[in-house]
Amino acid sequence: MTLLVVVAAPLGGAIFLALAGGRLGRWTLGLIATGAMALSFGAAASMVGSIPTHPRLEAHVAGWLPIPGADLALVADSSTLAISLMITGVSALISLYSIGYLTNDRGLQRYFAALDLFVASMLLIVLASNLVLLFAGWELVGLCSYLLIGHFRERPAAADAAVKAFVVNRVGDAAFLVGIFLLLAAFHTVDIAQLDGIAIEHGSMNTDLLVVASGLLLFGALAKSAQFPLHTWLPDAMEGPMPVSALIHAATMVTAGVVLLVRMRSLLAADVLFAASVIGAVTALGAAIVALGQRDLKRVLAWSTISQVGLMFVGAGLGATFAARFHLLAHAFFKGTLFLAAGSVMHATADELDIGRLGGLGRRMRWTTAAFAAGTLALAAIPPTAGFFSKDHIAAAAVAAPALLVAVLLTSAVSALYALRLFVTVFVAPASVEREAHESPMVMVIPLVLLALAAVSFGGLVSAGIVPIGGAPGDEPPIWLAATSFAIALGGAATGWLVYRHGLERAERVERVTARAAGGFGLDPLYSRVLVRPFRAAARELERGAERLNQRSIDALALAVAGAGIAVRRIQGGYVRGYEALLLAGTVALLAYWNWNAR
Amino acid sequence: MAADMLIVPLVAALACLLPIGALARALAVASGLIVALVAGADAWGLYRSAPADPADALVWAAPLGASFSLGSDGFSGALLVLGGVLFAVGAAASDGVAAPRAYFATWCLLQAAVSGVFVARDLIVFFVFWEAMLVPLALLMWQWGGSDRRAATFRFLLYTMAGSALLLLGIVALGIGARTFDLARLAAYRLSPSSQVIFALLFLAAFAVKLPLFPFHAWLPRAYSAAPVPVALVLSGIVAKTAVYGIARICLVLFPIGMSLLAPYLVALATVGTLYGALLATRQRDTRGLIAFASLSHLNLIGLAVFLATPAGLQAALLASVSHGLVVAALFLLAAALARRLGDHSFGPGGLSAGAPVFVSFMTLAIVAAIGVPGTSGFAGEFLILAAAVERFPGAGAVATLVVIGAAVYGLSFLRNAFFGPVSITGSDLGWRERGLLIPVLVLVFVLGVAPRLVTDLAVPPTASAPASTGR
Repeated sequence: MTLLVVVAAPLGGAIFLALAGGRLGRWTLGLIATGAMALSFGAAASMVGSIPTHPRLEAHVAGWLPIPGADLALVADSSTLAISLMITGVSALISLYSIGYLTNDRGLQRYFAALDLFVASMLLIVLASNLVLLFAGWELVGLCSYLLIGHFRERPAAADAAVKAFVVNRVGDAAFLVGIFLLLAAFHTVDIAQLDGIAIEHGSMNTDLLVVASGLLLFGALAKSAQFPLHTWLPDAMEGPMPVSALIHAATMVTAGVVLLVRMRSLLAADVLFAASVIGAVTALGAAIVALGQRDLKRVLAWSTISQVGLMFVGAGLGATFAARFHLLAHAFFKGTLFLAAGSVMHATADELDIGRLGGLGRRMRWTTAAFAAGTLALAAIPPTAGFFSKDHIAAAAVAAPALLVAVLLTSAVSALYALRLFVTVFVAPASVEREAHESPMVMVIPLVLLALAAVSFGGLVSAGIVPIGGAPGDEPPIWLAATSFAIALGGAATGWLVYRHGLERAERVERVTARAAGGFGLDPLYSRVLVRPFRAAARELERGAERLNQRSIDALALAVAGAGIAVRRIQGGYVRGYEALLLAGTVALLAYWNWNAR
Repeated sequence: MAADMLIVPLVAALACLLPIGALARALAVASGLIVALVAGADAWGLYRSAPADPADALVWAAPLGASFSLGSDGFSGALLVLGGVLFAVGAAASDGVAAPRAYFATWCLLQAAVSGVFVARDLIVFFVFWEAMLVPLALLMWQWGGSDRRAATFRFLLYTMAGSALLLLGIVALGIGARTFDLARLAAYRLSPSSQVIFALLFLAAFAVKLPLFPFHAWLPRAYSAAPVPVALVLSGIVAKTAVYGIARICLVLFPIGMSLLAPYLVALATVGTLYGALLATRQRDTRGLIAFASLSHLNLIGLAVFLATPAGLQAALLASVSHGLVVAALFLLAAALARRLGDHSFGPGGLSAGAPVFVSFMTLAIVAAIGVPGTSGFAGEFLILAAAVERFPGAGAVATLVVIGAAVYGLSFLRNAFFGPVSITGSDLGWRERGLLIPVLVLVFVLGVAPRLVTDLAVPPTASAPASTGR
């Protein structure tokens, strides 16, 4: 029952706000949305105690689709409960923060309703007992991201980015769907536990069908988690309000792919899982380099997310589910912190996003600066922040695959570099443009500080065994590895500090090199050429060719019947009636004939 | 009782001829609602008790050797309820028509004919109702349609009748051979596989045009655009479903072997049609054109499900039929509301969202259901169809699944172009009357999205023989 409340609270909040939120004020709307998430958090927290006695909690609500296993049912264990706690906790803080962030906005009702729906959908992905319900959550987070990225409806860029996010996600969803259909056709169930059972019973099943189905699920995961080559929607998704970005990046969307891989690990074909880790490594390193070349505050963070989720894929693909989950949670805290702090900066500087035009904010916004610093250290994986511990676990998992280990360590170095570049240019380096900046209101500062505290302390708490996140940590990372990654992170961070402490202009030579990476993997123009344009061209050609031909054929038929097109209009009326009468008369005549014969 | 479905609208049609003025519309709405309620009660009874045979059959004396035999089961019951709802909604949405009594009398006649198709248990009776649908439909389009109505009506009639002629040929030939037109007795009549194929093709000629199955859709875009919006609503929402019903309950039952021999080709056509409709829908700059091609896509997907001829496919087809009827009703109502504000049905400049937040929300819900987002009946129907398709024809099923991408493109691009972007036009928000019609339809869409078994369970004993997957 309690498990049900975890999902029902935010879902109910969303429905209530959508139906009845019309006349409510900003605070009421925000507090209802936040309260629903807090209630969900409380419900999840209350179940933690019962995990030792009931390792598997279930809640069956009702049947749903007439497919075996496709019911409205939830299941939780220690690891999914930990993720649920993070989702609801971080989302509640972000929702609270939104009250202060979106002060003059007329669309707050739909904003907060979508926020609650977003959380409920993500919880479905984590807690659904079966693939169909999981997929429902999967698509609904896509819908929520569409609604929220396009929140500023009058801005064409926002409207376009929203459509792009949903369509790219749908490409992944189509693959995901076919994967589910294949599994259903082969195993006659969509229940995840039953599928796991089948997989364990049959041992390692690298059958063709399973490889194809697993590959399709992985493709869906790549789209949702913005991994190469389906990452293109995420940088554009920055058009949404900043708290939405925080939500998408930290709590409710991009980590869904990791959740999927972790939940389905017994079933997925081994080759496909390994491919996931390779793609993750490529994405992690590539996106980190791209982040180094960005000048837009939000885009640095966006590429950073792509890169960090890549690291989670490395862990999940290598079977190190504890490491993947650990990094997923740690990342949620520090990326949430960074986004909310960045939002605080935007709030203070009238939406300035060019980091070259920011600077010197450290003295004006102390809370924001401190929080951003905490997030930066965690992103750079400097001990004792959360990022250090979780990244270390991923590196440890990759020891067996040296190429992946190298990629992970290089990613660490570049991450530390761009993290410091960002922090130093915005807060430490002298301001290039004089501006008034003020600290944000308490309703924004409090969630920010709480998240920052989590970003700093979470790693130590988990490593010390104080906060359980489910599952066994596996082998402790070897000490040489910890030392190496610490050295690498410190080196990257120090370089960042030294190069950028006087501002971007003074680091011009470095910037010229890194700017080359700014275009990303260059896939947007490629997709435009090989996918979008052919799609449009196909639609256009079909309309002009096949459809016109089809229309003409009936026109020709019409003209022929109507007598070579002479005075069609005049005789049509009479003709139609005549034809109808003829048919009916024919019916009767034939009937009569048959009746006569049958006598 | 099956006969009620005929008597109620026929009485209403006759009453419309009395000088009752504005009451005509109320009468038409009531006729639709009564049919929906009676059929719903019947279906609920079936749903609870799940008998194998048609629950109520009515057989009158048999002039000319044909028997006036009526009956309904779960499959037709669900479609009768849908039809009742849509005829009520359409009548309620028929604002300010000229010559209202004639209009609503014709309207009720159309309802009677459509209901007749669903309850006929005899092929001759079926054919008479099948043809009888055309007369009121053509009159409604011809007399009350838009600018292109004459040409559109003519083409629609011509095309449909070409199909009907082949259907009639098939019915007569079959009846002569089997010496009965009774569907139950025909089901037991053995035909060689090759003659099954030939008969299936003759019957399909009519059903493929009416659905319309790709590429027999040439009449569709013009008819949707030229017909008055309420007529287009029932044309797409329920009249097209008579074809689904015909394929599912006549072709599959009478010619199972023929249909299974033809299945690969039919499924291929339906798959192409599904994607073709979605692709063409992305090109439309007119709401009715958009609905026309989106419907073409959905209807072909439903056709695909029926052609699979599996219990899962039929369940999915029934659910998707009901879902499509409701969604297309919401879309047409919203399109009419949009046209009232913009002057015509083209959309383009965008920016309506600022002044009409409720309008945008309703339109978003309707589009979300149309493109099959979970929680709506659209998702449940589409998911079940595609799952059933992949099980039987993995290749075609996988290709057909690509429609979810095309749907996202046409649905969201439409919202983007019609409502978002800089504010350039102002229109009032939805009024309470407009909302009053939309809310029940949308509520049904979400109810069936969460509880799709209300419909799918009705289709379970489709061919009594198949024990099928009765509720787990």
